Amino acid sequence: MSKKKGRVLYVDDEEINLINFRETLRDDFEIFTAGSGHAALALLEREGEMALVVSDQRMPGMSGIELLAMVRDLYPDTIRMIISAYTEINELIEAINKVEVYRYFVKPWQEDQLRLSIGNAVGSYALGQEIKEFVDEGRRQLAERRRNFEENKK
Amino acid sequence: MKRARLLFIDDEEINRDNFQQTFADEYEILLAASGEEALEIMAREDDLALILSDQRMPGLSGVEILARAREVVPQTERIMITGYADPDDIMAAINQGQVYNYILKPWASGELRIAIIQAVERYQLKKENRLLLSALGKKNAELEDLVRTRTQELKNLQSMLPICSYCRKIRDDKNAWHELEAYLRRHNDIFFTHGICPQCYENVMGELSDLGQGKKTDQK
Repeated sequence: MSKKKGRVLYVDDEEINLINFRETLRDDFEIFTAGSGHAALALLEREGEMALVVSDQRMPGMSGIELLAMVRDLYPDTIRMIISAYTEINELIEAINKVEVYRYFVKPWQEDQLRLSIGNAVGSYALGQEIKEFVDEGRRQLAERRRNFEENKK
Repeated sequence: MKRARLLFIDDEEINRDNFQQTFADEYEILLAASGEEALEIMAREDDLALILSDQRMPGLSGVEILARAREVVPQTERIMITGYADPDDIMAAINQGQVYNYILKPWASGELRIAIIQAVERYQLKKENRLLLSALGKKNAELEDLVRTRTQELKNLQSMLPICSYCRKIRDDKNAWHELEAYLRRHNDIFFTHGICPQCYENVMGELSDLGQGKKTDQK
């Protein structure tokens, strides 16, 4: 069975990081990139929900936490991750309390760890979607059976 | 409604007392002074909504406890409370403990209360979801049974074919009348009910039927 690749959006203001990220992970995931928080939101609106949004924390304009807080409101099922060169305490705590990030990575990232975590995140998103579909399908079948049953009764 | 159960872990008694006094009215509170004690409680008690742990304690650290909790009681929400904010600890709380909230000591009871309310609410929503999911599955299975029974009943009913008491012709499911022997050669799994075919009805009961009809209309 050929499985669809998980859709991952990476946001960073440094283009070299975007290129690097894409090159590292393009075989395993469908990678989208954006150079700013605003560009990321526009891309999401255009391309639709992602399995995972990974963001740099410190960017001009919108910070990673600000972006992911909006992503959380707009696409609550999407998993959120931060990659940052800094480990400033307030940023870390906000990453938990405001954004509920799945993982917090420190730059420079370790390739295999990053790949593993992204794989887990995408898997966890897919599982969530499967459960949702299972429930929807169950509801649909239930409704249909009810209808059939009522018709048979006549 | 039953009060939600919280497990609070801190090696300092004054903190445990303080937590107990602040939240005892709203929640059922279990206390542990160490990670080891906490793990025992997790193994023994069910339906834990939330675990709150201090980070720095002798023995298991808060992160270690919460990482274990993630395996042992994955449905239970986790909050870290700590007096020292160390970046590595916080990163571990995210990456290993997958904590819902991170609170700095000394905690303001307002902030902590909101975090607890939200965490408990989330635990209950997820639990409700799981229950609904299994109820849905059960309901579906029940209906499937019902449909199966009903279908079998209909089949039985359909396979009871009317046979004419006079000419012994038989009516099929398309409402056509056949010679019995010819029909039986093609079908051998059928049941009969007795009736009368329209032709015999004409022939034998012709006048009587007219009378019968007349009588009925008269009575009306």
